[in-house]
Amino acid sequence: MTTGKVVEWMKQEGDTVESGECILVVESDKADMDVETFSQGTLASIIAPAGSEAKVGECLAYLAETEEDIKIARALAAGLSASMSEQELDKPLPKQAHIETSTVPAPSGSSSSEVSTAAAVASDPAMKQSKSASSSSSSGMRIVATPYAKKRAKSLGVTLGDVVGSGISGRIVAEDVEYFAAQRSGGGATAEHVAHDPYPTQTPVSAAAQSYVHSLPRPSSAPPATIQSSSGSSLAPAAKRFSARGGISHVIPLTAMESAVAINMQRSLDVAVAVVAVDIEMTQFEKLYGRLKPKGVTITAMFAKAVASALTKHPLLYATCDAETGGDIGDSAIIYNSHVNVAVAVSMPNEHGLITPVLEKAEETDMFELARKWRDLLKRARSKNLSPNEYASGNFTISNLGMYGVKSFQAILPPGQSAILALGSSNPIVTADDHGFIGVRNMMTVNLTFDHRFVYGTDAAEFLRTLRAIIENPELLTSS
Amino acid sequence: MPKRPAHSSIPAVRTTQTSEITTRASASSADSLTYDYDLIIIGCGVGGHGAALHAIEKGLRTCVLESDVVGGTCVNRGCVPSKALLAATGRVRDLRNKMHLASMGIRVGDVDFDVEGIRHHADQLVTTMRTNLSNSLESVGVDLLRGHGYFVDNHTITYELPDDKGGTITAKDIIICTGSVPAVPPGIQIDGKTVFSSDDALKMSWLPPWVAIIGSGYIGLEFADIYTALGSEVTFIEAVDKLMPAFDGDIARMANRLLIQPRHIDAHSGVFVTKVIPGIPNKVPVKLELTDAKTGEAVDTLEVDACLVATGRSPYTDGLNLDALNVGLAKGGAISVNDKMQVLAKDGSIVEGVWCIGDANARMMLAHAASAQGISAVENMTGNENVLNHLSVPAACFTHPEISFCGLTEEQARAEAEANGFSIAVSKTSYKANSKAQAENEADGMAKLIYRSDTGEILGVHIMGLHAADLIHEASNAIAANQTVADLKFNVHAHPTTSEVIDELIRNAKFTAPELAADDSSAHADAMAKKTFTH
Repeated sequence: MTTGKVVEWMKQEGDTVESGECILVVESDKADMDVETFSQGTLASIIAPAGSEAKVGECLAYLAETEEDIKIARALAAGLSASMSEQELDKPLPKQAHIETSTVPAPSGSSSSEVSTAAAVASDPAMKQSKSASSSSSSGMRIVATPYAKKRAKSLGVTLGDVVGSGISGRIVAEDVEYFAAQRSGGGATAEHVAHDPYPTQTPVSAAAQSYVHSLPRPSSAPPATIQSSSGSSLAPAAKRFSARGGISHVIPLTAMESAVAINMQRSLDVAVAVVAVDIEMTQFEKLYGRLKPKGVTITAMFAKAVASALTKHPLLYATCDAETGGDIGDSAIIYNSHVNVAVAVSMPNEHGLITPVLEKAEETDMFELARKWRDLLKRARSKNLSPNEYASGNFTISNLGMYGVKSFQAILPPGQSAILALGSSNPIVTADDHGFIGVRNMMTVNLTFDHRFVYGTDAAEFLRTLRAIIENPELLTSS
Repeated sequence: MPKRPAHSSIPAVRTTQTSEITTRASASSADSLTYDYDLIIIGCGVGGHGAALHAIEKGLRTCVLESDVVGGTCVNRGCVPSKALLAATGRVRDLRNKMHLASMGIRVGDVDFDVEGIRHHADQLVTTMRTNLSNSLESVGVDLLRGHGYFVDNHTITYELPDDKGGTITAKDIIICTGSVPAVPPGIQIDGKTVFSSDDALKMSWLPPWVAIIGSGYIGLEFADIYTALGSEVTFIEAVDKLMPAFDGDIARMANRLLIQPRHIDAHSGVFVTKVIPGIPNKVPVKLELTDAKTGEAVDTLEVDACLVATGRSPYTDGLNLDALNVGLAKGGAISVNDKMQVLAKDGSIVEGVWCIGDANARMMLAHAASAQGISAVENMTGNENVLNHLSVPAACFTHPEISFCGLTEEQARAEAEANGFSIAVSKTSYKANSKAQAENEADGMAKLIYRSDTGEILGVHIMGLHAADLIHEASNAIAANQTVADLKFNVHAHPTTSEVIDELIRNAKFTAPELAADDSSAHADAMAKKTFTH
């Protein structure tokens, strides 16, 4: 679980709470959970109101243990909503000795839940659902807005007072709010004329280039995060954004899995990557596969083993950088992992999905065992029965499109990893050997995408040299 | 005079008459020579109908007196037309839910509807039900008389219509089931077009784009379901601090999450409507003045297209001449009755031979409660003592998804437990675990079972989700049969059905049956049956 929804606050701002008392109800994808407070004090200020979504680990409210702390808590809460912009989201909140933050509990078992201090909700905290939901603005004019208009305004971060109403007697309807929001962010872009495309497709860098260094540009003026708080309201905006492209056939919002993939791919844009490629001769590897296949060893297990063996000699390639958690990039550290956990990208057979089951401790597991584990992981991945530490604990990833005849491709670096290896197909190629004799050999092109902030070209090239040596002389693999 | 339809193959046993009725002989009653009938039922709604059929079964010469349309509120202005509207609009909602359909691989184009067609469906159903009702009475020999009746004494009724002389009839027993009308708070003027009660709302003469609904009980919720399904927006105004105050807390929270939050609905709670100024459809909005329920301060003024008053129903007892029986009206206009449905006079004594069932006694304002009370009254008048356990009468709200319950809410159960020194336990389950609901991709919902932890006595069951209105009967019948949680463990539920939600609920209820004398639990059940319910 990475996000939850606040269903209801059982206590209001200003209420005193006892330790162990249930103060709010949170909705997960399974059921409603009562959240208790561990300390007693006053519920000083609520950051995430009922109906809002929040990420696991995010601050939902401030509890103050003493009277003076209540003021500090309120100031913190006000400061949090006032300074919310994309760049400042990464600043950690100032810690106070007496104030505790009540956070969304992560369900047990998810060892790699996202811990983020960024607040995702861009709503105006003053717009509470209350008796005076449509109270007058400062000019004294009464604002009349329909229920749906109010919901859209809340999720788009629009102040109703700024919107011109087009309904009967000048009431504000939802379309007015959406039009206002579109004008505000698109700078003149309407649904018909898409001058500024808020979702530029990420075309992979040209596959023709073999070895080069480049840094991808930062995404320019990404639109503010819109909160899709209900399933029904997300269809209309999506349809409006893309209506210019030849008529809409149908609109299907992202599933939770697709959403996670999209978010992770987008995050990779924050990392400066480079790609190095090498061609590997597959003759011996394929012969070995031929011998081991009847004994239950799969090609994936063999690749995982080869990669793991190579990685033990190049620990930087399966290290993790802690720059993810915010802070100045220059202050980061490289965390070396004790074991090689090889994640392998698989697609789901009956729906559009992508997941990376992990073969843990691959460097010390033999290929037969790896093959057995892989079969089990694959079965459970396809029935969506993997736990988070079975798909999120990888520190190196392999992606294989060779079975589709793809000669060469470059994969996108998953967040938190140093490198990902893309395997192409094994094709018979006319080659010349050292003595100048011409022959035909099966060659496979592999592309290594790596985090160039810490892994340098030579590190990548040396790893690939080791990997190539192992794959071209695979007998070593069977003796581990 | 109601005509039997030409196609009816049921031979007439008796024909209805409008002239004065002379005394007749009856085989079944010892008093037959004194009275015209064994039983006169005033009001041919669902209560009167249920009582009449049971009376015939018991061999009583029965007559039913109706001053308006046969079928009463339920058939003409309540359950029947509202369910027709909910069925049609529910389908519009489903077919327009492109995401839900796409998840099952279905693509739908634009779904259109016309309000007149939907209204016609409801009208047709009402006419059919009305005819069925009067046929079912005539075919078993009930005399259906037309007129507004009033008491001369506790065995004599005079009835008349403006264009009909009517007559005077006598009976050993008389049941009053004159029903109820929509309650309208003071200060609110109904114009039937832009400010209306459920009576007019069901006519669906036009579809207001934005409707303010005063009251968040089941009537308000059902109408919100209808309006939002057709694309209109709704604002709830509730006098109590929280919405749906009569529902169990967990159900109200889930209803808020499933029926209100994701729809184009918002709400004001803890607020009275002190003034409503009607408008003109699609031209001039209706203005509502809202004031804080506690402080009386002005809170806001709403400008909406229409206002539905759904604040409850008031018992209707006009023109009965209850003074002749020395009977007064309790608060809210209800006729006071004891547990056997016998009418009580102002001094608390039983008025011999006079009974009152249904909405008129305000014990439990539901159609099936009325007929259950009618059956109980008939049992009592034929010498079999009977007290209806109201905790075993289920209630349902036909929103999408449905809500149903029987017995006490958790809050009421805890209060009972505190007052009487026992403890309760609660079993809860989610619809998400149910394969049938998942197959339909409609797995939002929950069920809840409240029971005594010492005896396993079932105190209340609440369900929200697919088919909730049908599933509640296992629980309500269990309470009626005085079954405990331990007994339910042997119930078998077909797989895969949504009834397995109840199976899960029962299995989750941790209870081991101790040795317990039968007397204790039934005495407690009797004590609980004395609770009154208005819904």
